[in-house]
Amino acid sequence: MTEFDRLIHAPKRLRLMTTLSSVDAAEFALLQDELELTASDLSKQMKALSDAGYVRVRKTGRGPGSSTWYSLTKRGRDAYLEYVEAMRELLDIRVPKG
Amino acid sequence: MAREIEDGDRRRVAMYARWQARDSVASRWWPALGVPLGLLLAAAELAGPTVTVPIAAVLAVGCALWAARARDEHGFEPRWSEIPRSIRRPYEILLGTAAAIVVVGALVAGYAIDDGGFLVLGAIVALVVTAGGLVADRRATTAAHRLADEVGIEL
Repeated sequence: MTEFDRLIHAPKRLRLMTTLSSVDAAEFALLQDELELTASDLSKQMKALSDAGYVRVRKTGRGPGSSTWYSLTKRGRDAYLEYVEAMRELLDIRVPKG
Repeated sequence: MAREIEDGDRRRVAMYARWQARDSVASRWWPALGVPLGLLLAAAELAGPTVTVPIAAVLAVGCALWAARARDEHGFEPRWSEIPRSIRRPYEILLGTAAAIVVVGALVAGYAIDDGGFLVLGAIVALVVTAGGLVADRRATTAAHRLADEVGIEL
């Protein structure tokens, strides 16, 4: 039976990981817009990913012009690719070909 | 879960299509890159390091500022390998052509240094980067619009 990384398996975090995997870094507001998450929800999910060492957080500027940037760490990218590979294997088994 | 990954791929295409279409690689930047590059090569022959180094520094700072502006404006730093192939391709051809011209040209110009070889090379590079950049930009933007149609978003 294929094992999935439970941290990535949750739909919101999976969407975040998928989006982050396609860029070098993304800003808080962009992620919020793209994924239609509330600010508090996004912060919560990002904290979980960051605590696991999957995501790096970088803050730029101060005051109203400040922004928070997120990027996948090497560990996070490897975990995501592993997850996708496991999912692909599962689908290859389940989906009949032809 | 497979749907989330599929949606993610669609989102990736949409992000990069918007990035391209919203002038992230704006046409006005190509002369700003091509002309100093040409001057850089010309200065290598005409004035030596005292002029070449400051031009190279200005060029590097300009590129860094452009990258920072694009990053802040679009809310993400692009990852080259994740840019959809049809958008990336025209720029790869441009970069490859410019690099080949610089390498081969520098070798040839090196032999013809007393005859203004680097001046000619500088002019060619300025022209290729400026004109090629504009063409690559137009082709990539057309590709971005096509991709946007495919994933069903408006640019």
